[in-house]
Amino acid sequence: MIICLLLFALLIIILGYGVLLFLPVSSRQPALALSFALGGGLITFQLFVARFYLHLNLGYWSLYLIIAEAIALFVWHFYRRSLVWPAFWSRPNNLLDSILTGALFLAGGLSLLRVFARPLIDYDALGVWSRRVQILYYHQSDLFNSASSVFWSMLAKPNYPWHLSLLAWLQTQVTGQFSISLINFLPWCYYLGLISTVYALVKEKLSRSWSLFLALLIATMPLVFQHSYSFYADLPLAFYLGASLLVWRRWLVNLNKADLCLAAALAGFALTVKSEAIFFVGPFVALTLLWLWKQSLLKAQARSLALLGPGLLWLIWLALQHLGVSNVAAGLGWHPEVLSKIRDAFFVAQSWQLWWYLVLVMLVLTWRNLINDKLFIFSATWFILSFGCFLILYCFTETYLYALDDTAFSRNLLLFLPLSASLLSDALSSWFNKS
Amino acid sequence: MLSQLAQRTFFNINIFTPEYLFGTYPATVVLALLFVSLIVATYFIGLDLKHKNTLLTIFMMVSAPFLWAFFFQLSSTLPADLKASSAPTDENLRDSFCQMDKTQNLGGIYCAMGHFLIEVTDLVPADAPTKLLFDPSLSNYSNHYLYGRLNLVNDINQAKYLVIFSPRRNWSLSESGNFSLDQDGRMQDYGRWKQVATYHPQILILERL
Repeated sequence: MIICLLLFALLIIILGYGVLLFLPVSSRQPALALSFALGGGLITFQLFVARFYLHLNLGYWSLYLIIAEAIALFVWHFYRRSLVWPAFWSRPNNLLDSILTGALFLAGGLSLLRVFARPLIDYDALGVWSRRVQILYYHQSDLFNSASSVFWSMLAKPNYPWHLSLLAWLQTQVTGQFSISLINFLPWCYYLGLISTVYALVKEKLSRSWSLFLALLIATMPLVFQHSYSFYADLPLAFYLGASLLVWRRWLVNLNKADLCLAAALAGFALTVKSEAIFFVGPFVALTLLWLWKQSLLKAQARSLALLGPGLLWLIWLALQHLGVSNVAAGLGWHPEVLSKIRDAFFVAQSWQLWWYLVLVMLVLTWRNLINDKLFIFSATWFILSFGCFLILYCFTETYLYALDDTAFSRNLLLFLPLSASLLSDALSSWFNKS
Repeated sequence: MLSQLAQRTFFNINIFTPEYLFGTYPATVVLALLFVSLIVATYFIGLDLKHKNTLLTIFMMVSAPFLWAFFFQLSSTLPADLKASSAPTDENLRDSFCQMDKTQNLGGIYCAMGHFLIEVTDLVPADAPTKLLFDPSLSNYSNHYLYGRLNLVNDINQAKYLVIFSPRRNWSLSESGNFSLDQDGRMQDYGRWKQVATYHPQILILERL
């Protein structure tokens, strides 16, 4: 079974890497994580179009199609002599790096053990995400049978995207079974992806030791670890946002069109993971357009944002079904009582250990240098705009109830980990470089 | 510290509640104060905070208790996790529900449901039309775990089997086997049934006569 799971992950990575090879070498790191993000996004985009737009029954043909695509891409690169094997691993160069790398591997291994040892019992994972996989696996035709009790619009949160469930369905095709244990393998892959992305984000500015250490802090956050073996969409979304942020920050510096294309595609895939992505993709588009305008590159590069397409196609489908992205009950009001809950979620709860304190203290210590750092200003603005959206949501709508009962807000903070890691790396970098 | 990592709970997917040191002080706040104190102390001692290893050492020192707690707690569940990783999924599912029930003092209802969900599949034929009657708070679990394993139907009238796990008891079964269910405040009769298995007056499996 483990071999089947590895083959499944490999299929996603190979397909994604086949696409990644079209980009310049400088845009390809971290190759495994970016390949997984691209591969997963491309696969579920196709499955979504086939099932929801074309009303085709998904089956083994879908799996064969994806395998054929991966082979075709590799044949293409082989004949174009552009097939380059990525460097996935480099030896740690001192004892500290070795220890930190070992600790990261240990955290990943312990999480994998829990994938197999702890079957899914989390309420929303069962009711929303895994339920969809079951229906796709057992009675797919019922999904579009309005007389059926599992008709898509009768399911819990019908306006939530299908990326995670479609990819898990593909896993069932590779493993040949639906299992409430094996289904947690996918979150584990995203966990590794998130760690790699954070490592790469920090590595752009800091030493390897710092990058490994901050990646270890993220990997051992209790809430992140819990999500690494729980079939929820928050961790996958954090991964897609992190991957998009990583490439977008590169683009802010080099203005390479390929990087913008990749960042936009990853942001587009983020929209197909969970509705909350809209709070991040909106600011992403606005800030990108602003930077293009300032650099007089609007005409030359704005079209790259068309690669948000996969996400837009999901939004169009929602609109065609007369559904919005919001699950918020009607009614506006001012709910200041959530503010103390928000403070506690950041700074008192055990979910993030010391992370937000480290970020805050370093920002306070370095803000004078950071206000001249373009990369920091753009990343911080993205953070503020996205967080502002959540703040408005929790302070002024009925969603405040989910902050009061600790069922959603803390989980939402998971999505801010890559952004906060980039801010922390900017702060630390400016701290060390200050004269 | 971090004992929540060793347990199964409902809420850990949303939040890890604060852990307290010396009774009342949240561990995160205590170590954050230590972090700030170390930075201030380093400044006064005259150590070069700009040197990358000085700050990294401080970061590591204040994070060490959490990293230690993380790996310590996971190592405490390692033998159980290793054993469970090779055990049948159904067995792990039952144990998970029982653990969660015990940790959160839920009165045994989830533990009982875990056992029941597994036994039902042995007693009810997979292809027989079956209606589940679980309390609303539990139906999410029953619908998920029995979907694909039983032929579930929505309408009792179409069902050959009735699987009941309903401590709320909005139904009644007469001695002669007549089953009636509360529908909007009115008891509606659904014909005669025989008991296939009874675990508890509110946990039973019926077959239509």
